[in-house]
Amino acid sequence: MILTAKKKYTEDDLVEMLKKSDQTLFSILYDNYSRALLGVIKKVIIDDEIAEDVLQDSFVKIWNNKAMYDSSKGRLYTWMLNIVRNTSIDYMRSKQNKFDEKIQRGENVVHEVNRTNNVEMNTDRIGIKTIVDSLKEDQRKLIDLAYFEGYTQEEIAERLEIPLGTVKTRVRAALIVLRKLIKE
Amino acid sequence: MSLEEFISSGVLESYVLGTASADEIKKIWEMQRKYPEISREIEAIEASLMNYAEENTKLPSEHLKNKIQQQLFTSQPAASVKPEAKVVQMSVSENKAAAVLRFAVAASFALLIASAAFNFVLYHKLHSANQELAELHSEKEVMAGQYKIQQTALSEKSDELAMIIKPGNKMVMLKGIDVAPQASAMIVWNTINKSVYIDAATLPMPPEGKQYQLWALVNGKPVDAGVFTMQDGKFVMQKMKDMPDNAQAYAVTLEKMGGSAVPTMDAMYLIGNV
Repeated sequence: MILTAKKKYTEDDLVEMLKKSDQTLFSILYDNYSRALLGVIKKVIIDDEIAEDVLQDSFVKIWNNKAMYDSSKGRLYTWMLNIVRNTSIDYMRSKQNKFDEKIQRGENVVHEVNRTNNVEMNTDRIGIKTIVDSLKEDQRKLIDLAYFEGYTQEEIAERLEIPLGTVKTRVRAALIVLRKLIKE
Repeated sequence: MSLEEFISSGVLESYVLGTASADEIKKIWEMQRKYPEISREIEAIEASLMNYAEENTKLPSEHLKNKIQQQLFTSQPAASVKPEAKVVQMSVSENKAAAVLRFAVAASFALLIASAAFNFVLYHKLHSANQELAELHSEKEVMAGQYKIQQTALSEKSDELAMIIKPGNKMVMLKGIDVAPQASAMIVWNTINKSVYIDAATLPMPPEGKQYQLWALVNGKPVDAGVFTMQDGKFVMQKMKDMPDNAQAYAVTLEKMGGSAVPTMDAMYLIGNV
């Protein structure tokens, strides 16, 4: 009985099913993580179109390497985050984008200046304190380096010339702020 | 390590950020088995981070998901199967040619790789050379700045020296009396053109609202030779009022700002006979 039951599916059916479940899995991954991952990319790459291209490349890499993910080494999000960061950084570093990169950096500076001067109008959120604004400048810098640019805490300590212990405390303090904002 | 300490050590944050070491991850797993709170903590950290990244980020364009799905799921094996290549039988001599060609291809590949490696090394060298150059450049700027300062100081000194060795110059040493026995000053007085300069580097700083005034004794009467001030907290050589060549002595008193008409005798700091 079981054997005959099995035979109800042709190989094509099975392939089709496999494909479908794959697509479902992809869909779940995409729906859960695409926005956050795009947010990570957008911290390095301002242009919307390029950022989405990088997101697409990242998802293709995530998909093709999903067998390599080892849950004993870290969270799935962390693993995807790494792929996304590396893909963004690769893009920024690729030679043909040297020039664009300069422009992007310039834009980043403008963005930075805008934010510190509070002249940027964000129509969606006027009157609402944004997460970024709730972080102290030093906390935000640390979180951004660690999170969006993938610096280790040791590298951050060296780069900003502050003790490693301070880096750890500030990263944690920043995350406590971020967490409170979710609860609100 | 207590649960509290472990959570507040920041290691869970590093873990989610992807910067925890293998040892730290092992420790996290150990603690996770003991305390289920750790898993909740990790999830909360992850949620915060995702929320932070999502802030101010629009959702990706609607078509993007489809686009990726198409790339992942519709490029079926069909795309990877290449159109059948035409097979051509080769004669023996062609085989020989092919062997040469193969060797040539292999050799050029080897060359390509060698050149790529070489380029890589060169690029790094260039990079570090550029960096060194930039460092040297900024060092040079600093040196040039220091050189300029030295030059200015030197030309000031040689101006002073030129002033001192002018023909007709007379040097009058003023010595400190009761109020400031350690102080001294030098008057360079040119008896031909009557010009008077004072160098009073060792005088104490005048109190607020006070100024030193130089006097000359001419025919037994004190004559005002002008007040002098400090520059950058120091007394430098300064030109005073011209004096006739029959002045017999010079003195410095401490006076109110702008000087006085007659010297305050009990605030006399320095005196010296010609």
